[in-house]
Amino acid sequence: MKTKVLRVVIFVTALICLLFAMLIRCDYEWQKENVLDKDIVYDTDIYGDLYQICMVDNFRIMIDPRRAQYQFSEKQPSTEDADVLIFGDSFLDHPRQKGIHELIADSTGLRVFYESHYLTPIYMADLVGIEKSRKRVMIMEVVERYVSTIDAYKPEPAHAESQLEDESTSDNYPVVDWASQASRTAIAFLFPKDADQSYEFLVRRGIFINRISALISTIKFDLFGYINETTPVFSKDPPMLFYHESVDSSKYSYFHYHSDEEITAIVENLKEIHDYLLENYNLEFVLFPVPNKITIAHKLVTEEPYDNFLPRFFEKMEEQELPIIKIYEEFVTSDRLLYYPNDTHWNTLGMNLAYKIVVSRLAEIRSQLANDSTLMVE
Amino acid sequence: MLFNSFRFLVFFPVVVGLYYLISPRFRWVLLLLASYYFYMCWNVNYILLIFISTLVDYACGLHIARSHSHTTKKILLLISLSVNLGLLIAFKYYGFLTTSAENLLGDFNLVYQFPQLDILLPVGISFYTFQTLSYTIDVYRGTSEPERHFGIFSLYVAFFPQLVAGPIERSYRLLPQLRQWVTLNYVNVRNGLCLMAFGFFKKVVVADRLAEYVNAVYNNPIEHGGFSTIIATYFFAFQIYCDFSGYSDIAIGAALVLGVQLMTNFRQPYFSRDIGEFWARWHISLSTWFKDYVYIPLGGNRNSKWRWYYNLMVVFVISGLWHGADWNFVIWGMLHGLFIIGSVIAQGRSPYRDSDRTIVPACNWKTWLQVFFTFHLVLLGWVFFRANNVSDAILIIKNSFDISFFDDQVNLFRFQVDFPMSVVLIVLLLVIDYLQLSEGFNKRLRSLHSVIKWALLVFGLLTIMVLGKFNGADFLYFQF
Repeated sequence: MKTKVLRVVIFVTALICLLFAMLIRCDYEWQKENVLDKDIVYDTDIYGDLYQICMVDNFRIMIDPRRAQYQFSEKQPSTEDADVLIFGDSFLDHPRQKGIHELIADSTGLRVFYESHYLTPIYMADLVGIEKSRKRVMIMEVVERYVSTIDAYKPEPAHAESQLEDESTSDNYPVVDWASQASRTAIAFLFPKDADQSYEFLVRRGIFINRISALISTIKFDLFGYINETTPVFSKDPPMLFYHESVDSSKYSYFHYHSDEEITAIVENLKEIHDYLLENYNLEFVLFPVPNKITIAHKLVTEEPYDNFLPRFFEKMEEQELPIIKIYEEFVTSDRLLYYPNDTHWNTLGMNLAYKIVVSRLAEIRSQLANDSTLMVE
Repeated sequence: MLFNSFRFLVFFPVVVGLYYLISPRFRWVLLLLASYYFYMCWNVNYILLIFISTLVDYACGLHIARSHSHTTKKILLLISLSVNLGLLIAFKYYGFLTTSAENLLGDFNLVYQFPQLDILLPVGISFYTFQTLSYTIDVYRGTSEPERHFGIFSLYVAFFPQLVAGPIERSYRLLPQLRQWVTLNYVNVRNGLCLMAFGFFKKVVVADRLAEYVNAVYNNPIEHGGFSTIIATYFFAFQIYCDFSGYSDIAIGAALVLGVQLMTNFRQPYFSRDIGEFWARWHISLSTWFKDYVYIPLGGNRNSKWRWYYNLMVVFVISGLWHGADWNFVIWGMLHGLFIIGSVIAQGRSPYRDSDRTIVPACNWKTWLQVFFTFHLVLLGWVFFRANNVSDAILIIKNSFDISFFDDQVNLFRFQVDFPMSVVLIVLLLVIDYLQLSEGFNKRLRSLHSVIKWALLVFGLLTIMVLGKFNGADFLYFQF
């Protein structure tokens, strides 16, 4: 009898495992549609990106769902037609509210082109095909901790051409014959890259089993204080999670002291970008740094004072006459909660507050440009 | 594929399910394919090395058995040794040997740069090389019959539970089991799963937890004082024990579920009374391999005293090199060689004795003193074993004498609770090991009501889920 039961258990377990093995080989969109819990996967989540990582129920608080991305809507103009170009990071890329770029487009009637910048504004300007024409404003939204990593990387024309040639060659003369291609496909199917991560993803996000994962994570948190190392710092009352990069020992961290030399170097780099964009694209580059969540809410988790990076940075930018959008002061003095407790990003209040500042600063800069006779303005 | 990975947790039940579903006649095919798949999950290309080893040893084994000429047998043995050791040297020791040679030439003001080979160390190469070597040597000696079925022989070389980190099985034990037709056995499956669960517990709950502390200190010894250094060294002793014996438990348990009994690899080594006994309890499959294929051929103890000591030292230096291609492993081996020679001189008997002698629970203070002393000798060796290089090891030993209770950052764990929990887990492990020293304990465990046994298993699994560190950390012995 025992052996019979065991046989059944073994076969059922094997079938379930086989099913898992097939599922991780399925396309992500199919997985999302059929086996993943949409509430906790990126781009349809409703519990915040930080909850998705730690899965501790104390932080399972419903927040606004994400909206369809503006850049894929009909509102997005071509780069040539655009009056304003906004390059954003995660605060604007896939917001949970009508994003600042969309609000500007709707409220001012300006044609706003939006794209992600991946911390390389010059490269992205080239990539999206911006041509030097009338004088325009290019706003770059970036979270505070990445201000120091904005890259002045410029595409090399020769390199781009050779890349194009390579692509065309590979179209006409396939490098691999059908046999080796078939074996590569078979190997890729049998030995999928990052299989362990795929299994883990499925276990933690699977529609029927993610609650078990969440339960284990919550027990670990409640009993021993264990939490995922990507969200190592938290406050229980009020519930608030912080992303590891902003609190670890790296240069992105709140606990990293930014020296004056460091800030000067950052500003010099930004000046180079500003001047390059002005000269080659006739774009007025305006930086829009968004304070880290910990910068605004640090009192919840640490007594360590802020090193005043943003105000010191603004001062240096102004010394160099580089345009900037400053929201730090309004954020830090606000008595409202401007960030989601379980997400790295601002909430609707935070976004609206930022929008007001951005739109008024944009008007100011545009009017300055219009008055500047030395510039080529439409 | 790591045992402590999601991939293995999916792979293993599928293999077991298919194994008991298909006809016993074709099970070797399934296991062989599964074993190659298991290895190829790490690196698809390096399966070629296993093919080469398999082909050469299969052919050499058959021809050695067929040949009547002693010279031919010898030549075939030499071919097998050259190919297997050649691969091992090329992939594992080339960098170490050329760097050492360059440094030596540099000491004589001679500058020469050997060509660099940009190759990855194949996982488990030391294990499967030794396993195939033992087969050819046994056939040459006439103690084993050659395996005529190429598929079964290939499976002997690549059997996945013990492919990458042992136990290093002998052909006369494993081959007959691979030929037999296994039927589903409830007791085997239950015991195998329990052993696997205990292995996972040792690895993900204890070893990976301790690793956090050990890595913090040993990867940056200059920044840590005596107290932290000493704690890290004690922790490492238990980390490596739980890591490697945990791996062995999972391997033995997985094989048992498939109806194959692998040899015991660890028998409560930290309760050894001298270094000889330690090596009869620690990585038993390797130490018996060295005894059978290096120590005895060198003459063992049937020589003059000095030759005997020399033989022991050679065995342990080679053992050190087997563990890693670096000078700190050589020093680790030499230290154990010295300890064992010291123990032989003091006791006047061979270190290779039966490891089954037990320390009864009610032993006297002298026994405990011996255990304590032996453990600390082993601990000294572990410093060289774990340190990133020889100078780090010396620094760590130096630091260990600089005890400054107030300046030292003792708790290097990310979570406060991990330090006391580590201590509790070590004590728990020692208690379990101590109880297992007595034969009666395992019998009592086996005689428990099956509901209690399943409850214990479920509790163990829950503990693993709640306390386990699931960061996919490699098993330490994979690097060998």
